[in-house]
Amino acid sequence: MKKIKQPFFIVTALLFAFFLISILRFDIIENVLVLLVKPKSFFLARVSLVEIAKQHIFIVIISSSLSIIIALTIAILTRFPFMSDFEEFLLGLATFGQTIPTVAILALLVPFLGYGFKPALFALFVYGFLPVLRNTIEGFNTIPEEIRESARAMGMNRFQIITRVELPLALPAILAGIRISLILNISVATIGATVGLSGFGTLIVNGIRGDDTIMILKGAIPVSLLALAVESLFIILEKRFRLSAISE
Amino acid sequence: MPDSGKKISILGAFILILSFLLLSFAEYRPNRVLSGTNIGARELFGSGCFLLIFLSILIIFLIITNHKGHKLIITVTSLLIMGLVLYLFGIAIEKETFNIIPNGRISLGIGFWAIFLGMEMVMSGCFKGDKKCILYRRVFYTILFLMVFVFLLSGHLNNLSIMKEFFNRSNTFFRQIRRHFSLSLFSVIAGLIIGIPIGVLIYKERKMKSTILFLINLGQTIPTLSLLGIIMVPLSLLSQQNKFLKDMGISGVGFTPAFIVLVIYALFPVVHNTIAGLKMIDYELLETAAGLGMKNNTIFWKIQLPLSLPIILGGIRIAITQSIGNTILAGLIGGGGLGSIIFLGLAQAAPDLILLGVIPLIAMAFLMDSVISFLIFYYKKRYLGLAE
Amino acid sequence: MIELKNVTKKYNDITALKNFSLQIPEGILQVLLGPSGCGKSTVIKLINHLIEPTSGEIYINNKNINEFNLINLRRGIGYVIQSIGLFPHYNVYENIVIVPRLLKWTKNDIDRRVDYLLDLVGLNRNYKKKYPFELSGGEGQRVGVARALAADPPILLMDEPFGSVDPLNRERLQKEFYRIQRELKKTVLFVTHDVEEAIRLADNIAVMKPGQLASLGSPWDFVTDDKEDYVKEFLGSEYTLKLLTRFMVQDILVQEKIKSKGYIHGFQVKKENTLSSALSLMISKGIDSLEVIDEQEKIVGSITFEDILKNVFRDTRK
Repeated sequence: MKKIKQPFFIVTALLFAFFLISILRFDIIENVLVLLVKPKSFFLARVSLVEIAKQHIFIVIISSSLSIIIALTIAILTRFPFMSDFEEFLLGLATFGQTIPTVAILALLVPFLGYGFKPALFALFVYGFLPVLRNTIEGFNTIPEEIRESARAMGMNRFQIITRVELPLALPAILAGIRISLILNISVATIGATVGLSGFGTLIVNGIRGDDTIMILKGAIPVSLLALAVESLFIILEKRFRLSAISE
Repeated sequence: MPDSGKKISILGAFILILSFLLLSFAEYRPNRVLSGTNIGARELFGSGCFLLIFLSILIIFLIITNHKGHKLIITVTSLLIMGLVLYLFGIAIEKETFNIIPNGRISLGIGFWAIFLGMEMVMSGCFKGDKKCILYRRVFYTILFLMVFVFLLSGHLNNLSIMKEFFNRSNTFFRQIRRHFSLSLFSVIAGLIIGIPIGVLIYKERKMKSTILFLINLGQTIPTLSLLGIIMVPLSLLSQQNKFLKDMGISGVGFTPAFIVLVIYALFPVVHNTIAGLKMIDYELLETAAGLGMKNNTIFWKIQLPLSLPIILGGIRIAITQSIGNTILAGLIGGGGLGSIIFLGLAQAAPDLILLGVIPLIAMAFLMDSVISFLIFYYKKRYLGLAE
Repeated sequence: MIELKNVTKKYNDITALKNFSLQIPEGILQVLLGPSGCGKSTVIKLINHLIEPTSGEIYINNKNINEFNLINLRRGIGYVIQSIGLFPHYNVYENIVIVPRLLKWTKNDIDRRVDYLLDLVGLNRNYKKKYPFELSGGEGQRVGVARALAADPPILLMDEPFGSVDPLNRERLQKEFYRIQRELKKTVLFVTHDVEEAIRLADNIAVMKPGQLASLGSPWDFVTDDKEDYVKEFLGSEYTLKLLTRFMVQDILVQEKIKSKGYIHGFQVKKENTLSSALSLMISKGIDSLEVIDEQEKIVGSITFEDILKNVFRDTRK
């Protein structure tokens, strides 16, 4: 395996550290902010950022694991003859689905599922599902036909071709899909505040409504750090597997 | 129709039949916010329901018999089903069968969304493997949209709850659509003005590439709402301290922060695709151009830009659909647009008001997506001779 | 022995093969020669059952391939295509051992086999840890051949295996593959569109026109005039000259020094050069004989224009 440059690790570690500091000791940041922003009035709410972070991360993890598992299963099933006809349809659906705005889906679900956790979970699931499905199918499709043919000609069965050839070769694309899905989900979970999901978004929305800059930043800073940390972690993972797929 | 598309189409047609048999097509509520009772297709459409089921079975029959000319008949039959559903629905809600009291509301049931899915599957299977598949399907959806539009204009569906919401606020509705559209469009134009030069610069000076792309990607990674919040803070500070800016109308809420966030979001696809488009051009072609005595400037305007245009347009397409979606958030900070209708609907727990905001939004995104896709298709075919 | 009987293959409306019959005896290197798109690759894919014939039968050792277990059939047939067929995420060692592993060989047997194969195809043993992208086209192709031979299959199918290699390396690969085949006595079906390649390698050549067999015979059989116009046109009017590339100078070397008639002019040819290069030298210098030297540049004999005439074409001129 070729080594990944050290700065990547350092940046990722720092981002996670900053995220933890921002939720554990926001008072430090708050003191600096108060000096900088000089807010007219602000409400030092006794909200526990740790509690909010837990809720935010919880829904992202639940919905993402669900969507990753289901999307991978469906994408892998399209490699089998009885499902292969659906591949193009699913790809089209995933592409079309991604053009529908996130808030629109969230809002549309409210009449059916009510406010709060349920519509948010469903919207997060759908938005996490589409990129993984799309990237996995496209990852499979970029594998040259010759490689698949060699595998068949060597007497590998369908299952062996998928596990030993197709999945390892599509792995970087799949990881990219998971990264997009996670980042999108962190974002949708923030916007979820508009349909009553509690998370960092709640602080931002309440801050906007109450014209309280400190409260806005109390939500915005940690969630931004979280997103950046996850992104850079996955960029490392992708690089690691892209390298090992070619040159380990 | 290729055999491989059959399964999807047949499954789609079955979804149509099942929705007519089992799903609710209308929801009746005694007033605007109370939850209501579901009404199925048989009750709502009466004997028309059997005609709809018959047409769906006809589609399955046409698919199985598998003849080249059947594609057109299937498309027409599908459109007929949609038209019939809308027509019968209008008649049903006009009749006072359901004892609609003055404040009562009839809204669309889940069956409508199910037949959209079924229709999409029928079409997808029908045109599978066809070179012009995407084009045909866009034409199909355009006709579908037009049909819905005509039904709405004709007043046939005026008793529908969403139409009542519309009439309650028809003047603000159109203003918000215009505002929404111009906000997304201008933010993308600003993104282009900034993004294309950055893309060209990065293409030429590769050293800065990773740094700049990293920074632009940051803007994409940070959640929209959070970025909006972060942008609002310095803006409100500036406008408090600087009288001139305040007079200009720049402040922590409203138009300005929304616009800035939208531009930041539009940058990434534009820059990314500009680089990708320029990179794709064969190096030998550029050498030939230089060998013919073209200047760098001429090479850029006459060769690099025209050849990379389809990919740059692809970036614009992503940027504009994204932007239309993200503009909703402007509604949260008094920036106007369809978001303000949606958030009002959410606040009042009025599902039809939400729908009134969401439907034009999706139509707008779809329309812009189609228009730019068509431009790319046409440009490639007409000027680059690439048939796709 | 491989036998195709009246095989027809249609893709939708297009007929790729029509009533195609061919017998490949055991231990023979059969070349299938034809322009691109004439259905050559279809023949190969029919034999290892990557595709199903529309009609007709295919037998291996007098047993219909439908009666074989599909997986076992394929594991008993080596398959080489252009170098892209190597798995990019496996190194050379892992690529070679795929089939032995599928057949659950022991680690010891596998390791011994890999060393043997690398020696056979002329690759250094320390290549085992390299990845396909680190190999040159020629090296990748050697690995491809080693991989196909890994489980010692009696049959090899090769679809333009050296097509993406540069001319110099291609010639070297052809020579080595010729040696390997003669040593291992595999039954080989080798597909190519390159007439010279066919001449260099083949025991038998089958010339194809779109969808059909045009002519069949040994490389010498095609020198005669009785072939149909299509075959003559495809092989080209220089076929006879190309045939000379099959032979090396040492094949017809006369083991004595140039004696009389003022032959001593000092022009020399190496004994492992082809006859065509010897002839070319003769023509360019306006002479009809050459001295032959070995690796140490020692004169080992001579060759004359008459020797070429007499020896190479003696079977064909009746």
